[in-house]
Amino acid sequence: MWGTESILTLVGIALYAAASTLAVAALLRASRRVENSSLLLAAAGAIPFLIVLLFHGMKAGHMRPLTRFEAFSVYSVFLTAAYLFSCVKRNRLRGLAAIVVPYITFVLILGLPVERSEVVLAPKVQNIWLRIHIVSAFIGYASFSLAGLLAVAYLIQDRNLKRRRFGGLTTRLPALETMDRLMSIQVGVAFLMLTVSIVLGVLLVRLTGGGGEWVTDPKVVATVLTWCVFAILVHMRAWANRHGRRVAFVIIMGVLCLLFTFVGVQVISDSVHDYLMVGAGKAP
Amino acid sequence: MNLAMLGINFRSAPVEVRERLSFATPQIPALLARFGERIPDLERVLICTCNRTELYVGGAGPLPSEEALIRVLLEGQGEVDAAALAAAIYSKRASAAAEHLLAVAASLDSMVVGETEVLGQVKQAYATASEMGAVGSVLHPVFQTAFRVAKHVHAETSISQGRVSVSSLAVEFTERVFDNLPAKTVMIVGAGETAELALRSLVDRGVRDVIVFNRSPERAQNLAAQYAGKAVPFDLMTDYLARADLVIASTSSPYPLIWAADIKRGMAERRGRPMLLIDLSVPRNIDPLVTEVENVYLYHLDDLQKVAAENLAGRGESVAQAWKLVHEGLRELAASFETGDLRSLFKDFDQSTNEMREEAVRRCLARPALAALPEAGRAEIAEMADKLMRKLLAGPREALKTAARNGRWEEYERVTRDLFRLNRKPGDPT
Repeated sequence: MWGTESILTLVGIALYAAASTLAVAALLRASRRVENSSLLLAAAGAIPFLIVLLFHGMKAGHMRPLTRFEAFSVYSVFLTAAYLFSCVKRNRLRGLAAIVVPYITFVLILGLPVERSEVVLAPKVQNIWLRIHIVSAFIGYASFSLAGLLAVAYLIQDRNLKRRRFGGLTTRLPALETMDRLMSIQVGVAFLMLTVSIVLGVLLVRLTGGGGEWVTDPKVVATVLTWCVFAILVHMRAWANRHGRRVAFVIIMGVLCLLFTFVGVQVISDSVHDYLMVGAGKAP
Repeated sequence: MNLAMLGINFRSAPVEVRERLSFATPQIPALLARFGERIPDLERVLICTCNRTELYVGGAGPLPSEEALIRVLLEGQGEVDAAALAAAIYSKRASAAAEHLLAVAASLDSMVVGETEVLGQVKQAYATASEMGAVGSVLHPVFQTAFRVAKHVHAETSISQGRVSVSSLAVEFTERVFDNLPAKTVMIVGAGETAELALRSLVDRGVRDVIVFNRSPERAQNLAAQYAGKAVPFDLMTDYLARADLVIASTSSPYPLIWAADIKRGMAERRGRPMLLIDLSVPRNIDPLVTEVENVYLYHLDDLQKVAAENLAGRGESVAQAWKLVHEGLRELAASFETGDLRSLFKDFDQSTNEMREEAVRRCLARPALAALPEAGRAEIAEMADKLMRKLLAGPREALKTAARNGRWEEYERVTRDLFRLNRKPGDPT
């Protein structure tokens, strides 16, 4: 049965897929016009996912995301917004769409299929702090992922410049220094947001009188690991003033940790925090 | 079109010859005024760039000979080797001259095909002449067509895409690494010409912090003063490496001056901030092993020249397309002139044939045998002559119109004037 949600999701994915194709074509043909169309399509692609999330939220009576599909959708929408705002609008960065948009499309496909949204949150944790906890976590994920994608572009450009490949891709990717600067901004934002999210997470557990089960929650463990990588990065940049290739490497490592925290855990356990779930969608 | 040009360029003459005919911009108005005094009613524009000096003249009356133009041009230029000059000067007339101007403005005749500076220089030359009232009904349409065609060529072909000079490529490479040039420190080692050109391009892009190292302290001081930089003793060079974001080396040193170990030390202080090194010297002044140091990018003159050659080759593909636009423009220009020329030829043609006819009729009627012919009969004879003439000339007239449409006007006009012994147009070559 094809429900409205499935159709909306497919429309969204189709828009993102078209945007990816155009983004790659824009990079190959060095066309600004094609890249602009790609960005427009990607922005349009986020809308169906927002509508589906709204449906789910209204049905459950509280803020999503809880399921894998929801989490991946929110992540993708935030990442799209972060890219459009930070890279395109504020810094007029070109050429990165061919890396960012296909990545988002891939994540969205990973999030399929749309599960039924019967999973609901235990009422004891439904409050304003939870909302901040979720939003700041996703801003953090999106910013850090963007930093990771910038780091990939940085390493590609570094390699091209070292190997004296002057044509094509080298001319279409942003200057090394631009990417370096943006990476550190994104890492800074992500660090702040993840810290807020973790602190609120701990407070929420305390507030609701939860037991010790959260300590072994895979998500919590992975998040703490990721946070450590962040701390190293922020130290490298803020206190040691490090730039360049090594920073890009550490960021990519951090993003891999984050992907494990976020995607990996999500794929294994099918929910955000297992121990908080009630309802039909709960993983065994 | 009553147009002629003569000139000298980088292909026709070496710089020693070219500089005899080179005029600084402030000299040009006086020179144009001199032409106006020596040869009245002459339209004239003088284009003078570092690669060429070209004089375009036009007008309604007969155009002066090449020698006369050169004489005026050389007045006050001192001793000139006439033979060398004569061998180097090229001259063209009518549509060939217009074609040359169109090609020059579209930078098809430039040393670096596709460069855009020449169009500005031609425009400037035209403006100077125009302000003095030295441009009229011939040169005005020719130059306007040249500007229009050049604009089309730059917009519709990729002839000016991709940088092709080493100095501009040095800037381009810098921009691939750094995004905020005004905040960067540039270190110039040696004061070669290419390095200075690259430095000038960088300063034009906003670079403010320049450090100059040269074996000769005076030369270093001069260069530093020119770009508001700082001259530092040569021996301190390695100490300054950590501060430099961009190093341009161009000395005649037979061995490397900057070693990988120096760069490694410098980079330790830079904490991973990238450093770009551009080596414009042969033999190399920068140890090639520096590329192995992280966040260091090294390019040699050869790399820049290779990219320049590739870009130039890319432009070459657009050249044929650009020539097509030039020829289109030329056809339109010729057509606009020919409408005027056709009218004047037909006028001459009609005048001459009418005279012939009238003369023949007059002689015929003056014969004693026809003395008694009534008025109606005389009128018949005159009408017959008129019809015969018209029928005879209908074909040639049509052929001339067709030739004008097909761009073979000049050839047909010459033949027609020869065949019918029409007065030659003033100023046309014999």
